[in-house]
Amino acid sequence: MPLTYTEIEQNKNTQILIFFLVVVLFYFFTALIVGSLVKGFFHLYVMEGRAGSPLLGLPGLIVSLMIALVAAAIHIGHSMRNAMARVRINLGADDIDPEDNYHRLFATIVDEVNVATGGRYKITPVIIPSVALNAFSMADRKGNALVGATEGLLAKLNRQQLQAVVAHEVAHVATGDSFQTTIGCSLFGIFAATAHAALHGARAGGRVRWTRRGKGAGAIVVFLFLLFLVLSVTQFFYGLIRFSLSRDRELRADAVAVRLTRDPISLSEALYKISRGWRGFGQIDKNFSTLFILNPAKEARDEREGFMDNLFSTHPPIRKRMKILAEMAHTDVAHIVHDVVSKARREEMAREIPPETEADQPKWMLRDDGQNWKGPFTISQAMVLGWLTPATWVKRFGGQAINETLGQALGQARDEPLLTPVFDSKLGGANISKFTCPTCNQKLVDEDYEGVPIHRCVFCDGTLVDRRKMTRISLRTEKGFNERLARLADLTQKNGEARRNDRAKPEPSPFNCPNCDHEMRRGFYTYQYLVEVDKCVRCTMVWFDKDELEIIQYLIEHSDSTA
Amino acid sequence: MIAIIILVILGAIVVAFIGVFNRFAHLRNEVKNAWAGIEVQLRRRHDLIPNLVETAKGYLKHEQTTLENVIKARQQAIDVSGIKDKMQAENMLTQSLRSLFAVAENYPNLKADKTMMSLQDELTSTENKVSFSRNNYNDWVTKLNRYIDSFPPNIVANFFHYEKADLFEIEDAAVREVPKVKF
Repeated sequence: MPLTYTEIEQNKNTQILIFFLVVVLFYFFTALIVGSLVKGFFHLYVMEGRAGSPLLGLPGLIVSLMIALVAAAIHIGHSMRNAMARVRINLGADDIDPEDNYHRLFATIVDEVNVATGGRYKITPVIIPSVALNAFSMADRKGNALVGATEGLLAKLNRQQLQAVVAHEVAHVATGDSFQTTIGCSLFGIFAATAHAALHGARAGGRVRWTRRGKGAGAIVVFLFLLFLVLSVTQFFYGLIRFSLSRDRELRADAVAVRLTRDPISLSEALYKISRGWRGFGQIDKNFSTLFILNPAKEARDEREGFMDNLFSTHPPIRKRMKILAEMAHTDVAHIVHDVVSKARREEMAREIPPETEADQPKWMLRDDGQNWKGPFTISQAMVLGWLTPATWVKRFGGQAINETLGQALGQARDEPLLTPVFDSKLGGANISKFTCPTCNQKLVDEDYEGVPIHRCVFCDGTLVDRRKMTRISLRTEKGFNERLARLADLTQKNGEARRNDRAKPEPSPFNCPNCDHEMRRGFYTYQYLVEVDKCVRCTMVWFDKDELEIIQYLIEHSDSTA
Repeated sequence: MIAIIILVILGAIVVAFIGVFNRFAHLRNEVKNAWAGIEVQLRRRHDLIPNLVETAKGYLKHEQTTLENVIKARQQAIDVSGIKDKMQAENMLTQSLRSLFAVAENYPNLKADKTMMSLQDELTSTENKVSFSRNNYNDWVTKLNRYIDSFPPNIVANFFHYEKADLFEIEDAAVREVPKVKF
């Protein structure tokens, strides 16, 4: 993509000069205040007010300036070296999970879009494990970059829309915006965010200590005051830095993104979808908002275009962005909104609904090694039977002929065409999981549930899921729910409410964890979703009996008013 | 006095010439680089196809001609050189792959095959990368061609016999066709 290299480099350098001036200003004032305090102290207590003035003279000012220059150079140098890693830790972004379909798709898209830039950058995809809808990018001087999306975004956008959002973020990387915002955030943003979080924590947790022990209260007040001071000073200087970052860079990135993908409509749709959801306000610190495609906080200022708004706001109005993109495609915003809504409705209709009963599935009686007839088994149950070979004798449960052309009632498994997938799966060998079902004592089967790898028992339909992957499952909406499940979910929740108090403490499960063989406890999934599940006390595994996983997903989706 | 003026003018011309010459060097290298980017993706596609055909062979016993077309188109795409011929060969390959996937739609077992699925995913991704790198290449080519057409760079271009580069275009009947509206 032809962007002049020198243009970008010059832009980078002026921006860093501005940052440097702000930081010098910060240290200059700090040095002035400290210097004045020291000199005033000296004047009052040591000289006892006999000679000189308590204020700093010209030499004092010059020394302060020197100190400020040195300190600023060290600060900027330090920030530039590892800004990206530190901001990333503050945002809590994880690496992608290579086993997860959605994560893999995201990584593929990042890879593809990077090709459009001529492959100039080394872009690592990362994920913020949050239900919010947002995306961000960061970059350092050497061309390493991070492009991140929230779990919510991966679940709610389709491939084209995700590609458009990624292109927007890659555009930031290509134009050098990301580098500037990353440095800007790391200069004061991290301190402000840390102080903000600490102050918040102290306010929430401190109150108890306060009343219990009167003695420590003074120290806490001093501590809080200092924290507040740090917060307001860093926030003020961070505000100065934000001035220098124009809100127009978002419009520019939109335009470059369209040049990368040639698809303005998808970007416009993605912006609309993100703007309608929760963008992470309260979870993503406001000091990092410049990194994101849309401001995590919904600020009235962002939607206005006065002189002050242009100066203070970090993001242009959403409707303006959508309008520009819509005009590129010779359509209008109303059309795009209409399309998004009707597409969502069509997707909702197309959700795959599991069948109501298993009764019409074919079943077989099988003769085991001891020549005893066992069964009836469904096809998925037959898949995990270790002793079933193509030579095993089988008959249909219900008396039909196993092979219509031959017309036999009894035959070997290799004669039954419907059983072929069993042996196919055994040949592949990838499907049988390493875990054993705690209730049936049979091997679990690895499955893909809305893109997340889970382990299911084909006999009792229980599932073993890693707790850390539950957010993704509850967010994604591939599978629909049949009426039986909806009724069951409502009933379970109602029952749970009646027993909420006597079952508040989890009790030991009758079995051990299939993963670490440690004790499991049976209790409510959370206090909001009153479904009893078995959680391992040691590792992160959760065992769901039949339907429990689907019930929880149903309850979460149907209590969710933000999405 | 006149000598000084002439010297100044000559100096300005030399400076301008150096500027134009360097700009040409930059643009031509970027075009070359972008073309190399396309070739990387095309080679990736060529490498994927034998596996794809091998996997599909077991299921598509009655569709030998479709498979043979794919193999033939791939071989041709590898053999040709020159941007224009390459473009044509690659478009042929795209067409033959498309008809292979259309045929595969009728074979549920093939569609459910894990290797086939992952190959198809990877091929889709590679196709996207081809189209993205093509965009990148075309952007640079347009920039170079516009520069060659403009004055005074066209003088320099004539002097050094710099030629316009070819755009990498899609020759796809389905994409090119203007939709017909009937009343």
